[in-house]
Amino acid sequence: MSYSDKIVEHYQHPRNVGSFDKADPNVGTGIVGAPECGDVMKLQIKCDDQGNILDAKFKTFGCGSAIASSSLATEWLKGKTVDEALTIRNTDIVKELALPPVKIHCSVLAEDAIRAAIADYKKKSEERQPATAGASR
Amino acid sequence: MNTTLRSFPIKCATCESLAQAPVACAECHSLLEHVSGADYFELFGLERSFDIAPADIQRKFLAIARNIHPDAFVSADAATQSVVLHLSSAVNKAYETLRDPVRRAEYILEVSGGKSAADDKRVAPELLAEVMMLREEIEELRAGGNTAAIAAIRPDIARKKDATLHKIADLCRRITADADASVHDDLRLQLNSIKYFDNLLAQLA
Repeated sequence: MSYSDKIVEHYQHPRNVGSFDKADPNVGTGIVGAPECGDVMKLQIKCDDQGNILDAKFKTFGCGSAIASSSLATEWLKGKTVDEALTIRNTDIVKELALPPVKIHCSVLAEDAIRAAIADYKKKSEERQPATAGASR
Repeated sequence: MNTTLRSFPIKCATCESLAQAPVACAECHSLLEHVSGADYFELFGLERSFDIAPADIQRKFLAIARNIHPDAFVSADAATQSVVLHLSSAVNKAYETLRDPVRRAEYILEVSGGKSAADDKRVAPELLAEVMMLREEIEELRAGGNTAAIAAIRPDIARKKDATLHKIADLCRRITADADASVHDDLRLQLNSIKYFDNLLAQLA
């Protein structure tokens, strides 16, 4: 099995490694893991009040493919709205990085992380600006 | 497919000697019974149980490996030789699976119809956040050359893994034909955390 140039490039020069403050109301954090290999991935988005993703960061402790998948995911997230970001599929990542079949679960992990980060952000923004229907709660 | 457990000794149909170990006769090396479709426990002539003694597994493995050694089948027909080849690979896999407590528990869950880690990734909610935090902490300590602080984390992780292994053993004992599905799900949940502990421990070695 050999890795594509794109995986190696993302693995050797991962983009957007780092963290945002988890407590920041404009930050959504997703932490996911793969029990088969014990890899853990943290993906964070920083949004404006309209739900535009201004910046994204990740931290992945795992194999090269998991690092490359999350690195690519953060690149794709920047400039999208959170709703647009939900359309990113793991198969897009597989295609872009030419992931070998045994590493497809790494792209699934990245998609799970995107969804978890967006869910966390949405939960925070609902708490901050409760919908009128829910204001009486 | 015959999956009922045969109790030993079994009389060899070829030389009529009493065979003490499964798969092939120790005297004439004829195959004792049709074992395709047998699970790993049946292959070893053991009850499906988590609590099998490591020494027992090793003794059975060595006896079976001796009885199905290819040298004993050089004059056998091609069909038998192919069965023996297949068996010897299955016996090796069975040994690797049964001798290791975590793999044994995974196998017990699999053959009793439980979900795989790929189908059910759940772990205790706090665990992932804790693992991520510890990995970041270890990374920082390592960058700062603080080996003493890294070493100090290890006992706590080892203790948590140990506690999980105890839960796994306990759940394996509760997996019976009429066990509630929640036992399977609980076992999956506990097994799912093992690799995270192992990776942490590898970082702390």
